[in-house]
Amino acid sequence: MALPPRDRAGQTFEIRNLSIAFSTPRGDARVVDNVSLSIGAGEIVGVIGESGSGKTLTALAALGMLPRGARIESGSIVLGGESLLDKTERERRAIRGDRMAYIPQDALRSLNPTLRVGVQVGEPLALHRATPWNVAKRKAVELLAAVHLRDPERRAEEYPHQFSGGMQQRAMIAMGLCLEPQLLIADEPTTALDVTVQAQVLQLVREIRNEHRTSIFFITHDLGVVADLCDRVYVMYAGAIVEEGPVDRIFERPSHPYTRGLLRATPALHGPKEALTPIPGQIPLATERPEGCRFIDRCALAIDSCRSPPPWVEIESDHRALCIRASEAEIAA
Amino acid sequence: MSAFADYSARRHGLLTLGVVIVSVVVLSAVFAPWIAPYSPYDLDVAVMLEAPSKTHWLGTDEVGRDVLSRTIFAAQISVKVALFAVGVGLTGGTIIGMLAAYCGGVVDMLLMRLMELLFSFPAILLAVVLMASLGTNVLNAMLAIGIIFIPGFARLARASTLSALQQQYVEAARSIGMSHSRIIMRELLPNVVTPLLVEAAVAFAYAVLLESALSFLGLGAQPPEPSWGNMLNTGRGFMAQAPWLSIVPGSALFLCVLGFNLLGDGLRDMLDPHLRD
Repeated sequence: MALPPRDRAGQTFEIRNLSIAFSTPRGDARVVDNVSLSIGAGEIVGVIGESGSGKTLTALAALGMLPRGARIESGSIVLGGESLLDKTERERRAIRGDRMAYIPQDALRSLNPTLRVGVQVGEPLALHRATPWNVAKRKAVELLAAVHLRDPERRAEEYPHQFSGGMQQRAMIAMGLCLEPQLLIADEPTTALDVTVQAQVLQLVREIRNEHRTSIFFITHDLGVVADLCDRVYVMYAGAIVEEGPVDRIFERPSHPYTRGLLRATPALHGPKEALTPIPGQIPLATERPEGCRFIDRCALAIDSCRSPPPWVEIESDHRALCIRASEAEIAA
Repeated sequence: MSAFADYSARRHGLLTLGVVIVSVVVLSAVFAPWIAPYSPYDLDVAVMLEAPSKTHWLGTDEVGRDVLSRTIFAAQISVKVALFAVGVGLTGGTIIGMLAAYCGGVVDMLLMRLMELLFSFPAILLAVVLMASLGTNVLNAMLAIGIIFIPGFARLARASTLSALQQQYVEAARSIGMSHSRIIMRELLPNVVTPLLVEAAVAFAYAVLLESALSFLGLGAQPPEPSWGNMLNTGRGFMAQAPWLSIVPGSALFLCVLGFNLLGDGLRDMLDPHLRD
């Protein structure tokens, strides 16, 4: 770790050196290890990684909603200049839904089946602004219209099971937008949707950013979505960030062998057809990570010095990778 | 007509039947003083053990009281006891079950072990023990039956709450900054209330039965206050000479229990949010 976390003064949201661990019978499992990331105003930042890479836990820590048994070992989380980890549960509750909003993975189960959609979409107003119900309901109709639901007045009166998957996801986004949060955390919001619906939802996310200058923390395992939507991207592997940079730079000069593997394992829509190459092996368990570089067992470029902790290597300004061979990787490949 | 529509039409018919029976019982209870032809307490030694006739439609008992009037007034006791007992069981059980599920850990363990302790006694035995320590009267019968119901409702509330807690809408509710109490009341309660209401209707039937059993054993309603249970107990001694003394309250009890069971089944179908528009 030659370089300290990049200093990005005036960022809307910043996580610094965050480590999260679970206690297990086989010792502590450090599922998020020394993660630093930052998101500026109006920036869409992607966090990409396989399941189990720690991306969702990082988001939950930001929200203050870590599951039972998980604890933050070190680090800081800052929203708009305020340190979130120093706050009480009550103070964090006042921030959630107001200054930061969350769009969960599975919108199809994120709406309460027993409550009308309009009531749920307007709920943050009632919760944080003590707004009377009829006012909140009017706002809910406006929000449903803003996420391009047809006939929002009627839709607001309906129950979630009367909505299609894409409509439920829009309703969730509408709920997240209710109080115009500074930060929107979206956890794979398009995974459960059809490709066409997915494109509409991504378009909606872009509109939100453009209209409200919302900072968006976008978790996904889909490189296509990252390429399409994000400004900058962090690649996570086995609990740590291994490469970060602007999206076009990362796609053009992927420098960590893991990022290169991810790209090679993803079909390209345009350009010549090439055989997909899967990355051999699996993500190591948090309790069984190798010494040194955590990718060593799956890496074709591994050398002896990979057995000690890898350094951050600056590829170009704003683009760096956690790999001793990062600058040679593209030559080797 | 599809098989499903056919099935739902039949279910609908049964629900209607249940509603009709329950309405008759409840209305008789409420309007007993106006619809009963005689006072349930008036003795008339001239007409002891008289068979059903024009003057006494369902006959008279061993001291000449009108059996129809007593059966109608007995509905009052049954409905009152069942309402109160189910109220105690439903409220207590829901609070305990939801808290256990939501808090988890030690709270869950302690509360549910306590419930299992209660559950491990046969219902009648537990009722008899409670009545013996509380004293025999109708109020204590209501309490005893209510306490018997608590573990059943608690288990159901806990199970429903646990499955609701797995749902993402609870996480979504937390993510907009909802407090624990609001999550319980607003997000979880509406999602666990359906099975509890169905259970309540079925428990209602069981409460009527238990009250009758306690009164039959002499622990519930005390003579001369009429209850189907103590009427049955009296009728037992006159089975050969005056079978109507047993048949009438027995049938009333049977119909009442049937009605509440049909109502419970019908409610379950009706309250399913996926079938509701």
